[in-house]
Amino acid sequence: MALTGRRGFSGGRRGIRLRLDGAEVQVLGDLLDQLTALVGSPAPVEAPSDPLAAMMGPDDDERPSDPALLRLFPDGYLSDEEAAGEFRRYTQGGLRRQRSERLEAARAVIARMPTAPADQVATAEVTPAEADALLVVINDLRLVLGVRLGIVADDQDVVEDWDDDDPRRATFGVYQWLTWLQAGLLDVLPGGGA
Amino acid sequence: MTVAPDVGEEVSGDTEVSPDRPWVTVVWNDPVNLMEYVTRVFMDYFGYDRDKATVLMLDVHNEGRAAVSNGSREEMERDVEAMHGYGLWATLVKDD
Repeated sequence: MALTGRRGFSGGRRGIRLRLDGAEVQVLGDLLDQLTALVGSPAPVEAPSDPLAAMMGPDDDERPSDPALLRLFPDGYLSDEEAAGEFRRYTQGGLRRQRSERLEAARAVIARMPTAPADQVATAEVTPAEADALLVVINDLRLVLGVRLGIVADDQDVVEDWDDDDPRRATFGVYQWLTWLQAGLLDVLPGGGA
Repeated sequence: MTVAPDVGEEVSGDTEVSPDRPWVTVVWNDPVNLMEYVTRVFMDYFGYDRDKATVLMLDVHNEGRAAVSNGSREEMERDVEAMHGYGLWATLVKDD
């Protein structure tokens, strides 16, 4: 019957392991899909006739209008719009590719967790590279949810102002679950543990 | 974090700035990033030991920001780009 052992990340001599119940696997999978859609794929090269343009890759220099996306791709300069635009032109494509590759690694871990009933625990062995990717992906998810939930200050009690049936309460639950998951991963990563 | 950043003010942090290394990477406080995560990023990316990384993380947390590295403009653009990759909010500024 349902295993109710410890969930989350655990570490040992044999490496890092992730255990989640079926419901959690489903939630994390959905979140990864949503973040993948938000980040977008690195712009495809449109077979430009200009060989130099082909080498430079496609333009990816638009400042995101979605504040959550802007949190992932922030300005590099505070008070110099021109320098910030130039910085974005040279970095955004590469940063988008990085995020997209990390998401792929994270999805590969989830794909190894067999579809289980909501209350049954599935296990995946996580390679060191996958653990590094998951650490940043989970952070990205928390950053995006933090913007959506309006978390703007330390020690802020966001829930306080919400009605009992406010849908953000469920999202905040997911945010807290991701915080727990990330803290657990930080505990078991080599060199961690303050 | 909610207050508009004041770039004119001197930035805290223990990174020394000499005339030939006039640019600094500034990391800003953020209510989402976990303290241990920020510490680990400073250790992993900059190669700082845990003590130095922790001091810088606490500077960010308590002062709202900290200078975490200094160097040429190109070097600092690389550092800021790396910080953005980790999801830290960073900017570079010339330290006059």
